[in-house]
Amino acid sequence: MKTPIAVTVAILASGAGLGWNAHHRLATLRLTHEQLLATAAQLGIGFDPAHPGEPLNLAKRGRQSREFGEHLAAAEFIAFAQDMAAYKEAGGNQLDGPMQQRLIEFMDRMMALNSAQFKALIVEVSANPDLKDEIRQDLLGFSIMTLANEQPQAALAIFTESAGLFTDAGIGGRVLATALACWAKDDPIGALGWVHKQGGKFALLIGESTKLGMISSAALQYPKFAFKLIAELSLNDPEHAIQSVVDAADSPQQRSATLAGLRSYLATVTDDAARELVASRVLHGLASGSMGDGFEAASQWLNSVRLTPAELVNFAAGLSPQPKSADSGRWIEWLGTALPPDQAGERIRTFVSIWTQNECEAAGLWLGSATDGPAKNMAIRAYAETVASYQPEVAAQWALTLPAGDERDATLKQVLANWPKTDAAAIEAAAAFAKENGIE
Amino acid sequence: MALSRIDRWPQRCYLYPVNIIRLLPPAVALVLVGTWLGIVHLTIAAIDGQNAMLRTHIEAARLLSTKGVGSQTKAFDKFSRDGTPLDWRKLAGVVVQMQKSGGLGDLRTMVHLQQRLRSMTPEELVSALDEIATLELPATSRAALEPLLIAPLLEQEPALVLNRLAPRLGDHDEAINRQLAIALKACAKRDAGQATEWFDQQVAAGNFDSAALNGRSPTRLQFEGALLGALITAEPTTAAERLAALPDDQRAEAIGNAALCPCTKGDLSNFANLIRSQVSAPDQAAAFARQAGQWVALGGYANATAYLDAIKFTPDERLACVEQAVATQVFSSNTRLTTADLENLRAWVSSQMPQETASVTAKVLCTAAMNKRKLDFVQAAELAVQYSRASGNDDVLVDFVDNWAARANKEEARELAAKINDAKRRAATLKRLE
Repeated sequence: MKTPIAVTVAILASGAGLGWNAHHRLATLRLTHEQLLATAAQLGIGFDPAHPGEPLNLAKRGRQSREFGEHLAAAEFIAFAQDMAAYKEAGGNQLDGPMQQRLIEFMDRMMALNSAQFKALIVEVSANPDLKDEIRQDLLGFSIMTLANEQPQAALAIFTESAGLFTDAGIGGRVLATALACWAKDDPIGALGWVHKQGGKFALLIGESTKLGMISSAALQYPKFAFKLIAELSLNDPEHAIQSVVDAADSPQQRSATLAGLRSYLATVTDDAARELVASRVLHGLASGSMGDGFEAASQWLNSVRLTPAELVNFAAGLSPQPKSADSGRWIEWLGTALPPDQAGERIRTFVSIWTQNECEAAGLWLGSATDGPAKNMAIRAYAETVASYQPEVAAQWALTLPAGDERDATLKQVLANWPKTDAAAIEAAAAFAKENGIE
Repeated sequence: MALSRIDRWPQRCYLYPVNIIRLLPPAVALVLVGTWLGIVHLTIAAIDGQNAMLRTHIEAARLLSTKGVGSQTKAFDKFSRDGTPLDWRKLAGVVVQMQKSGGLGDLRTMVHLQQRLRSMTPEELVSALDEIATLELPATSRAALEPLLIAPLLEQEPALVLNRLAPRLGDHDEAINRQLAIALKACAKRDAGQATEWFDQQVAAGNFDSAALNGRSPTRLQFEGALLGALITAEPTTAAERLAALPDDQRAEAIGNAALCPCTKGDLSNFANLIRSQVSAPDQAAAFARQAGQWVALGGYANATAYLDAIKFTPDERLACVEQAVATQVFSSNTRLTTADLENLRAWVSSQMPQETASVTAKVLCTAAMNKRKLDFVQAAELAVQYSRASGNDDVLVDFVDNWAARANKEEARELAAKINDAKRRAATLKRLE
């Protein structure tokens, strides 16, 4: 009886192993599929759900074969490179108007080449012994970078085949950075795949800034995939990358996409501390961006995305008073209603303290018209304690408006502690204040 | 024979069910696993097929759009040369992409744009700025475009920059304020009287009024610094009068902000004299240090060395300058602190004030770990231990523990103090932390 059980276990184990691999592949394919659908939508290709294999509008647009322009003869390249070298030797570090014009025409001509022509030219140019290596690398690098903006994959293929030419790591690195960022902008998973497959060969050229460039570019359209890149690109400084994803979201719609991306990403992070760090950074950034939209728009956005209690706490921590904003008071009221009382108090305290430091008059005016309640009381405490160093009498008056109790006592003590004791009169005033309020 | 077969039959009949039952679990497992894997593989094949189809369509669409991009690029090339209106919205996308990519972005478009901007008259540049303002671009796009137009305008007509951008003084836009301050200095170099008059008018109009509790306007002090930077050599007496007219507690910041030219040695001599004569003694180190921060920001530690070599400082002033230079160099970026950053700063501090290397290292580690800004506490603590061991004394560790206790967490500091090698210093440190 033991043998069949062992065989069963073996079958199930093998099945689980195979299934795990298959599931992993399926997950990757689904991710790619989702991204391809999004890319297709970006390009205006729609699909009928009943016939997912047939695009709706591509046929109507008609196919046009790409016409390539006139070939750039290697001889022209070499002549231009020699002129450029002579120009630099004559002390021309910055290109003057005519030289700039020639550079533009040169790049236009390079862009008219197809991949095969491009490669053939590189072979011929690289074999030319008369060219200065520095100029050769510069011009070829510029050309491949220019190509990378329209056809990053073709540019990478050409670079991969001619990488030996680029002994200057700076040029090689910039070529890769440009191509990978351009690719990641439209197809982050494709670019990531290239890095996984080919990146090992160019490990020294694909530095942190190249990876950040990929992530920032991906974040412009696909924040969800930008988070995936953060997870898979082995960054030294993931927090910087996270910030670049948040920075890319500059509208409520983009912030919603970033939040959705964050939520998907966090589901894959097992380390609690890492998850909290990422969540707090992103939500702080989203809060800061939302404040820029104004309170009304930000409120609508908050209603639409339904933050979880934990997300709300992180969002609230990212709120900071904006200069000359008419919304600061409304944000304080929002903090009082959106957060649990124990957390609202601390956030209001910090917010009001900063606001008072920066715009004490505006903060005081709002306080005068604010609705009574716990949020206002916490704001009064922060206001009084902050102004006490400059206007202790004003601070004292505000502190005394608090309901009698521990909060008022603590505030009065803090006002006394902050009371400036610069001269005898001030010391006397502080002592009188202490006596009046029974502070020892 | 037949009988014997029959005799065996029941036995066989009896045995078959037993074997089947025994084989049932593996058979069921096989079927289940097979079915499951089959479904997964069919799904994989289906999605793979759909992905291939999508890729084909996307590639085809891209070829078409590449043709389109080419056409647009050509159209753009055309208007970049003949004065056809520029599509600022699209250009903003190109510039933002360039800034974010880590590469050089769309070089061709950028060169075209530079050419076009260079060919524009000041009036055309101003008109373009006005047009951009009406487009309701996202803040990042506008912030990416405006400096490109303001830069050539600053070269040609800085006064125009002042007049056109002055209404935005109240926007609290740091980038615009920076451009305005540069324009003020450029104007002052051409005509100090006119620049001063413009600035004083703005001050009188309340455009630099402070709403802050301490009464300071950092923007005004930034502009005062820009103006002083131009006056300091050309009109040192006017510079001194201007500085003297500011409240005592704001002078160090104003003169510390002075945008000095590293190439003009006289500037630094006058700068030092101005501080010695107009800034109260306790604030002088802060004024010198503020300027050190500007020098390091412009050209790294080498630049800071040139600054420190050019002025005769007291030891306290020199230390303030060294600390500020290191802080600016380390904390002006958002990136994590690397070992290379630390090695560079330690090497530089050692070259300037070797006796302060440990204390400066400890301060940097502590600040870096505050709120996990640049390091985690654990990483910072490990580095403090590592540097202490490497130097053969406990200086970095003791200073780090003291700093951490004062600024962050006394309990963590106490635990870390246990790693101090020297028993006497360990005991003394622990006593301080009681």
